[in-house]
Amino acid sequence: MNKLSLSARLFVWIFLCALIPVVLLTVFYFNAFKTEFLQQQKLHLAYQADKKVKEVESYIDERINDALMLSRAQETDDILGLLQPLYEKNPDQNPKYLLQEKQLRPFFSRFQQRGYYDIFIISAEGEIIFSLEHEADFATNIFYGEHADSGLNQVVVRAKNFLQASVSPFEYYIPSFEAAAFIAAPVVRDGHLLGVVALQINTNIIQRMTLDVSGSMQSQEVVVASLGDDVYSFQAEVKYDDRIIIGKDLPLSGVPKPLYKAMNGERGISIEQDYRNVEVIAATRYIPSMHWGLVMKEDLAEAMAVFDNLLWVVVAIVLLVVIVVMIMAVWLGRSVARPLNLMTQATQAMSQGDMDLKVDVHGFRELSQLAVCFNEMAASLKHAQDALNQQVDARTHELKMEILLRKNNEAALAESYKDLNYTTHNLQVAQDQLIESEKMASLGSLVAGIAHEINTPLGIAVTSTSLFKDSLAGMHKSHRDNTLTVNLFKEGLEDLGNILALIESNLSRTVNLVKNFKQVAVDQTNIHKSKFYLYDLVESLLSSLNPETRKYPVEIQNQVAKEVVMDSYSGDFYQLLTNLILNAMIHGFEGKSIGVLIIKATMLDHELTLSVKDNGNGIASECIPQLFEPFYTTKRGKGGSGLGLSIVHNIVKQKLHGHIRAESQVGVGTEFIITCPDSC
Amino acid sequence: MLSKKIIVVLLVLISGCGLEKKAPIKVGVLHSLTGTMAFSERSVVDAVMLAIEQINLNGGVLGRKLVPVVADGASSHEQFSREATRLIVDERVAVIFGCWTSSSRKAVKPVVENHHNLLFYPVQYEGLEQSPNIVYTGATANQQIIPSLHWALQNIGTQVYLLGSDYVYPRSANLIIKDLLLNRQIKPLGERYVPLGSSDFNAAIEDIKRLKPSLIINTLNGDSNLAFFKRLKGSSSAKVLSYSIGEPEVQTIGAELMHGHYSAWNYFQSLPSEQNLKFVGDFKQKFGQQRVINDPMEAAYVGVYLWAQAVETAATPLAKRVQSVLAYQSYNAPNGVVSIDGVTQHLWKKLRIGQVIENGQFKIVWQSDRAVRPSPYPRYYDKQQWRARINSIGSPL
Repeated sequence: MNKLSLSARLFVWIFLCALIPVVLLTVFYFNAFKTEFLQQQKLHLAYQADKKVKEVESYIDERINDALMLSRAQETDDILGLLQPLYEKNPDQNPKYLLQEKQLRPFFSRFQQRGYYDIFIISAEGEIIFSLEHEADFATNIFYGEHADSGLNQVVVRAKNFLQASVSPFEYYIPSFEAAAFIAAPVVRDGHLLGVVALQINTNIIQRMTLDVSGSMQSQEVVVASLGDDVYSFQAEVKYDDRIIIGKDLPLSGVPKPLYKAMNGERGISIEQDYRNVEVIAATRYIPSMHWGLVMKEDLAEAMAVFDNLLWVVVAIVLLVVIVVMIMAVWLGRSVARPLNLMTQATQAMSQGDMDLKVDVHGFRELSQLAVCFNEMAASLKHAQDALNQQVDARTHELKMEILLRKNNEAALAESYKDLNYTTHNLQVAQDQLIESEKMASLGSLVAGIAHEINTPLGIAVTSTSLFKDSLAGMHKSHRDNTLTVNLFKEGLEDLGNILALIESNLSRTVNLVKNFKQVAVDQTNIHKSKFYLYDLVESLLSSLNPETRKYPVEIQNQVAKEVVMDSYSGDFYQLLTNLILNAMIHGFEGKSIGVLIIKATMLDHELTLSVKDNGNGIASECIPQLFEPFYTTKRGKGGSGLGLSIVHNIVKQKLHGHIRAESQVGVGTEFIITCPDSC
Repeated sequence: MLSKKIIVVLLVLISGCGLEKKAPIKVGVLHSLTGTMAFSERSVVDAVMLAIEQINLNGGVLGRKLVPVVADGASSHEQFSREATRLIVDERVAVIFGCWTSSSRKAVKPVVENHHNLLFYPVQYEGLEQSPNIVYTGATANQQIIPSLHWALQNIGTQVYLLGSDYVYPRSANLIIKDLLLNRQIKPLGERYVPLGSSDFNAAIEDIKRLKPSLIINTLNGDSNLAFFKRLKGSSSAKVLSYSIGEPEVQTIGAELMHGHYSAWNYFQSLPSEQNLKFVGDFKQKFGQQRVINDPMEAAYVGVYLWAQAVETAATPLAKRVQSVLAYQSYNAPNGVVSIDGVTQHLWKKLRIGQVIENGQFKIVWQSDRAVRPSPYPRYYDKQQWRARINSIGSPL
């Protein structure tokens, strides 16, 4: 339902709420009217049928009254009194009879004008002694003559035996060569039956009355029939079938249903199929005096014609209404939907950026309000957008300027950076060179120290060699002089022994020194990681530095824990320790006359804590931050390159992946604390 | 939705319009439930009830149910008159189905005429009466007596003895019978009347033994018949043609006493028509297989249906309006096609003569070829003449 347009929705709702109930009501009322209309038609027909029955019965009654009247007439007496005696065989050849008859005829001829085919007077014995028409029945005996099985006989018998006037049904009557019915009344005087009067009526008379149907219905018809044993016969002409013979017996199996009902006394009105198999409204009645079934019928189609016309009119009107309503629904829907659509389009245009829009404010109140508000909203949106655009422009301009500036700065920065990089690179190179120089220098001083160190024992060894040489020469001399005494020889051997011991010890000292230095040198240039006891390393370092360190009045203690094992660059340790120790000597104990330098180290959780602590001069706190900076020295011009601690710092940081810090107090001492992992 | 609610309301209103007219219609049933006539009349009440029940089952009359209001005439014509008045004035019945004896009918006649109501009278009677407020569904003399007498004279014998109870019906009937006999130059051998309800037939039996009739025309009514036939057996070989003996009376008197004698009626229980077979079946189903049905019961049953039909035609149970549409109302009755004669308000009916057989039923020995026109005043005399004749016989009511 949500996808439907307004027009469609309106249409559906109007359809459901208004049209369907209206149509249903119309159908309902129309059906009710149809039923009522049909009922009216039925009632009308029933009424007409009743009227017709009364008509027929009255007619028969009148005929019977005629017969009764005749039966009481003086003229009848005359016939029976005057004519009967003259009656014998072949009366029409009897002149006396004919003469008498001629006199008596006029009355009966006048009576005949009432619509009788023939008038009979019959004697008590059954002789037809008088007849106006003188047909074949005249002058026969009705009880046992050749016409004894006719209707005339029936009524005469009834008159005679029951003293009753009655009427017979229509049957083919041979003497008249056509269908005829008879009415007879007894002639009774003082309780004695003298004879019977009989009237003959033909079908024309009665048909004029039975078939006379007035009214606007063309198809209206009266059908009368008489029921026998398994047979029936039509008693009057039938409108739609020329072949019907009045009074002829037809098999009951083929009887039309309404006629059968009528003959069986079933009074009613229903919709049936007549003898043409056409649907008719049929009123069924029974006419007792003729023992007839009567059906008054009219075609259902004709009866309902008015209604059918009305039906078409109503259908047309309903269709028209439906169409009009549909159109109205569509128009109404559109008239609401169109402005909304326009607004939707406007919104879309706005979202595309077109802000200069107005929608039409005409239409019903809610719609025009919406349009007005929409326009206001559009205007304020536009206004806001413009303001925003302005701001944006301004900001953009600002930003552009900023960007330009920044770009310039950036460019400058890039330049500076380039310069800086270049300078740094140069510096780095210089530093590296310096470090190399320092290394060379320190190496140089180290070599100098080593040379100096070696020089001493070698000198002694050399001197000793001379002494030896001298001693030996003396001994030679003595020998040659044969002044060598045993005591002199013993002294001389002792001297030689002593001198040799001295040479030996100094040479071994030299060897040790060289070994030590070699170790240090090897270690210093050793870039491979190895496992070593730190204590041993410190020992050998101290030993190698001895020539230099004994210049200073400082006692160096190796308090490294003996179990500390490092898996590290031993060379680096040599290097840094060397620098720290020498630094302490040079700077820490300058002007001091005594001091202690303790090298301590402990290992905890694979982290080494190495401390080089002196009780020297200390470092001023303001100097400490710059301590490890390259080229920072307080002995510029006095041979300090300012790289020593920097190198230490580099080694600790880069190679050993550790940290170094300096703690110092002027006048108390300085401690350098190095922490690093045991395996780097 | 509002419009849908409106439709519902409208529909209810429309259908409700029809409902107010669905109140039931009261109909009076006035017969002797006590007294000497109760034996005969109670059965008639049963037949009326059957008709009412069947009509109600088919939806009633004009869609309204019939409600019977039963009143007891107590075999007394004064009581009949009082009860008729009560039914019409207090109970406001639309019609009365009732009466058996002519005295009760003559007592009710002025009541229905004064109050513009209708009486449907189901019993065969002497005729010589007509009222716009009475529909006579039983045979008149001309329908029953005349044709049967003719047949009896032809087929039984012409030595005729007349015997009847002493009241208007037998006396009027014999009047007509004697007309017919006279017409054939036959003089009745004898004519005797016994008081209504009497069982003393000594004089009659003596007559019969002495006069030796071949044909006895019996217009005795009530219990007298039982006594008579007991006495007759062995006293005479005459055949009796009765006008007041139907299947219930044969049952009471006994088939061996009645065997071979004749009755003339429009209706016998043994009629073979489809309508009658259904009627007998329905009656026995409701009231018992051992019950029998006679002419007045059938005539009463037919009377109810004819009245219902007339009410449907008039579209109202108002008696005045129903009266105007009574003429030529026809009905396919158990006894055949009947029709209300427009002039006399009597029924066109067929006549039959039945002979009692072993099982107490009647064998039809003759029937008229078609329905006989009712002539309460046989036309061989006019009305004034008849009235004079009736007065002359000085009939006690």
